[in-house]
Amino acid sequence: MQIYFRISILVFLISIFQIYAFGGGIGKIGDKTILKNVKHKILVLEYDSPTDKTWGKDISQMIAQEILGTMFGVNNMGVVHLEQNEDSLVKYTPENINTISNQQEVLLTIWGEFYTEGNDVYIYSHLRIIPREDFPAEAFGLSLEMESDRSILRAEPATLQLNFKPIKLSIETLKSMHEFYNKTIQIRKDPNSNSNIIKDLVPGDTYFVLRRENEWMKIGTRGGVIGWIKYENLEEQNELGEVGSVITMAQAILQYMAGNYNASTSSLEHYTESNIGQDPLNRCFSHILFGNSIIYQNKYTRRIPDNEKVSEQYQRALEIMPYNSSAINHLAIVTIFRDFHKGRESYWSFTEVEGLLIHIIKTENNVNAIGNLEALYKVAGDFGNLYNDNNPNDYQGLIRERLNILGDLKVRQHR
Amino acid sequence: MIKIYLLTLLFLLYWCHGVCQSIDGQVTTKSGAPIPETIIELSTTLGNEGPIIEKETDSEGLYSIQITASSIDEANNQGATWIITAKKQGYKKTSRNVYVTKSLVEPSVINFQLESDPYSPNYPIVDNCIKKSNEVVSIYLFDLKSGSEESDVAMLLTTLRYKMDSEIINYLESYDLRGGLDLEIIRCPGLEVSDNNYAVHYGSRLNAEGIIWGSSQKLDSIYTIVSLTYIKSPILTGLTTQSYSNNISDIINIPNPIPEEYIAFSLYIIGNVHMSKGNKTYAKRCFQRALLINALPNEYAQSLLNLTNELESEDLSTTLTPINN
Repeated sequence: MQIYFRISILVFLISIFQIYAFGGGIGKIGDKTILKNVKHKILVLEYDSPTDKTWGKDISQMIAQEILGTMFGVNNMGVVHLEQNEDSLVKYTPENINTISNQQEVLLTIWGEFYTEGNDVYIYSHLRIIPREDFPAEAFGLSLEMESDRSILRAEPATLQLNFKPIKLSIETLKSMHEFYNKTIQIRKDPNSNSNIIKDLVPGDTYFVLRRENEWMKIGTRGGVIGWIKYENLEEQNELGEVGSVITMAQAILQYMAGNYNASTSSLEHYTESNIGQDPLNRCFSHILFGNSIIYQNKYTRRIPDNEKVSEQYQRALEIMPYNSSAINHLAIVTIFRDFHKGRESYWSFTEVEGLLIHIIKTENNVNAIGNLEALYKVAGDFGNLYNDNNPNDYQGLIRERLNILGDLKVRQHR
Repeated sequence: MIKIYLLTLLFLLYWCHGVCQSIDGQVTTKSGAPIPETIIELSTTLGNEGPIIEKETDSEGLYSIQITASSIDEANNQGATWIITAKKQGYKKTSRNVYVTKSLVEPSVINFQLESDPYSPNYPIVDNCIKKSNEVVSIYLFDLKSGSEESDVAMLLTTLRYKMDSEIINYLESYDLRGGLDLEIIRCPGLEVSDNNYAVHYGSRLNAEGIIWGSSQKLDSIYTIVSLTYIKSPILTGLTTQSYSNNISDIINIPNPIPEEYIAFSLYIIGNVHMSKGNKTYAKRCFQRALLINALPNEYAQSLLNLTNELESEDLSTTLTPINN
């Protein structure tokens, strides 16, 4: 097995953040765990194509190194880049993606396909969150306890797999990237261009980033050499900006998983503002995760603040995907908490949320919605008339009736 | 005298241990013309080991099959039914049951009149495409009938298959609609299908859930029509996409995701498979998603509504209504 690390490059945003240790590793699909002791790992797989295999490694290498070079706010982080074995190609089915990801013990996996048309290459990317024991899928949703009866309100993540809109790159760009990623870089004693050269860092050498100082990066190689290398930006490649959507989302998710909610809030704010052309589910997920990041950023574990920004994100998610159960349940939770803590102004009324929850119970048998609607009726019962105008006379009776139906539905779900 | 009788009996016993019974007959067309080189197979319902005897008709369409006592015993002891089948490319396969014991064959003369079958010449190509496992939901992609260079079309269809295969499975996965099912788009190369009857016939033979077929013709520009057919009962054929372009490669539309009709078609198929497996929650979600996409023609949409109503009819949640309603 060949394991090696490559140069981390590109424009970086980290100077204002704390210094973290990064690592990058390359191997083949089927290899044993690479970067074994790294806690927060992203896997990037060689991109696949039905006809032209030329650019698959360059595309995945570009994404891996962009992530490595621009990541901020995650301690003990690494990027593993795996290539296909030419004699036994692995099809990227959901099961295979999970198997490879679990083998590499990563939190996120990025893969994709590309198609060549004339002088252009169209790149389709996918990102999958890999839940594990210390970071289950539920962590991407919301789970809050009601103070009144200790019942739990729950909202599931909108998805664990994101698909990205295709990116167009010219073959010229891919060629220049290929050259750039495969050249030798000098390790110098000090962070300036006149300093003595200690050793060459060739593609395939392994290294860890120890420090960053302006355009210089202090690294340590596996062979024990410590020195400085200079960052270089790719030549003006405006096209690469499009790749940023995959990178930013990968960063945001990893920051969220690492518990750095300040960083994930910042990344998601940037993402939601600049990626309005993405697939609806992708955008819906980003708004929900943005809302959740704000909640966790403020360390509200049992009580959601009456935060318009949170409600706004969930509402935007729902506008993008009407009837999305994740958006509805998230919105239900903030609405129930808001009214539980003596109704304040917000976007959504009890009546609207009640209607939406009933819709996803009917259309999807959504388990979380049953629990959330139950909590909504209990709050409505405890706090009197929350339905504003035109309420029926037997208000409490109607609530009891619906709680009975929900109770029966729960029993059926458990059978 | 007794010695001669015993010797004759012994000879008959010995002979009957080898060949015991025979079936004879002739294979002709409906109009009575003999069909030579027709394969005549004698098999049993035990089935797994293929035909017990296989013969070919002569130039007069005549055949004769001899059955050995040992094979009769072996099959009859296991309660098998005997079947004789005539197979000839270009004709419909025809079978008859026959009663066989060591002492009797009924009927012992079986004549076949074969009906012509326009589909069968392509069966070898169709059968060669079969790539079916019980765990995989299959949609087969036939070659589009085209006047273009064969290699161009082949490359385009390879890319189209790959693009659909990848995008559909990733769509299903991201919306959590797979429920453990795998869906695969399988190419059936070398067989151009542009006629509905042929498409349905070959799709049924492949035991596919869905098929994709069509044509690409050069008029003023290239007119391409792609049809997507749900092949299980009831067969739905009304879903087509059409495009006019100066370039045949536009049928793939590489810069953009596949048309929503393809996604909705797959949701319809996957939903029905979930339903047949009793996985009603996933079926409901697939049908709801397909309805939301709103890209299917009327016959599919109506079928989706019927299926959704069927799922909801036994659902307690239908009694749940908002308080102010």
